[in-house]
Amino acid sequence: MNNKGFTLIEILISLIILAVLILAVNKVIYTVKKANTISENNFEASIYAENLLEFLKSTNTELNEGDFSPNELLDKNIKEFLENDSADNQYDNSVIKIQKIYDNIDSESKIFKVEMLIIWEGVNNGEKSYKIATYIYQ
Amino acid sequence: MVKKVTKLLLIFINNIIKQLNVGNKGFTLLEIILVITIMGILTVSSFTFITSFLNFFSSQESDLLSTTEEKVGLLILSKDLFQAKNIVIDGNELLFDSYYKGKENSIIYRVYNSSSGTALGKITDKKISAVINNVKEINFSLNEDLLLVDLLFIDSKNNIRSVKKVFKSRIKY
Repeated sequence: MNNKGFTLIEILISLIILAVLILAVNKVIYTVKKANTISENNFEASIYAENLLEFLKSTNTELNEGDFSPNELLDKNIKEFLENDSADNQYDNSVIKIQKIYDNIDSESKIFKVEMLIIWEGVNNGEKSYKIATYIYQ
Repeated sequence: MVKKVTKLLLIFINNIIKQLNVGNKGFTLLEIILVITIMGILTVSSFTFITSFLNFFSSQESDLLSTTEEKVGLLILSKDLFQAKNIVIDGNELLFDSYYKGKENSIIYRVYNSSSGTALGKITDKKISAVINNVKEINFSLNEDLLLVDLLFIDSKNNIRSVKKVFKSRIKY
């Protein structure tokens, strides 16, 4: 029986190959997880932005020009409804920019341009944002 | 010439056979058992690794698919609600009249038991179709001309996730 065994070089090379393979697999798993988290966060932010827009379109909401935070715009009922138990105040830094682009004094009809920048804190990646813009006729 | 080449070829083949026969002791039973054991352990561990790797990707894929399904389902609900009238909330059911297939129909949205678990279903013409799968519960409430919908989903890891949606309607409640 040949009992020479492996040399140190052979062991080192095989360990390096193994380490490279493990790192590559780890990187793939991390990338997929990160992409999925980004996609989920964007989905939640888009739902939040759509909810804000629907609220602004409501006949009870009177639009004024300026930059606002969601808390300044939303009424008590909607604010309570949208509150998320798991991530409190996660969109508090968001900015809603409202601009009047048409005002007919005779018919009292107005058109507003609404730009929303939904901002949240990404995990380990700092601030993330989602932008949406639309026009609202009142 | 041909004879010479044949002779050389035979010598060459003989040499190869002789070389192959050198050290033809073969493996011992212990060596074979050891190799088979190591191969078995490696096969089982690599199989487990590959399976968990594939499971991870399929769970990520199903999460992404369910997110897309939620988005499409909410869009269908939004389209129906846009031209809805006579909206009534009966427990966890939403009933209203809306234009569907060119005529006015009554539409009901409620959670029902589908073939693949619980789902949010849309009932029109006494037929029920799944709008969003894996919905555990749905709650509707009204605020002036806004309909507030709170959906509870079950994701691929059996966690319950909440999605809250505000819909503007043409009518005031």
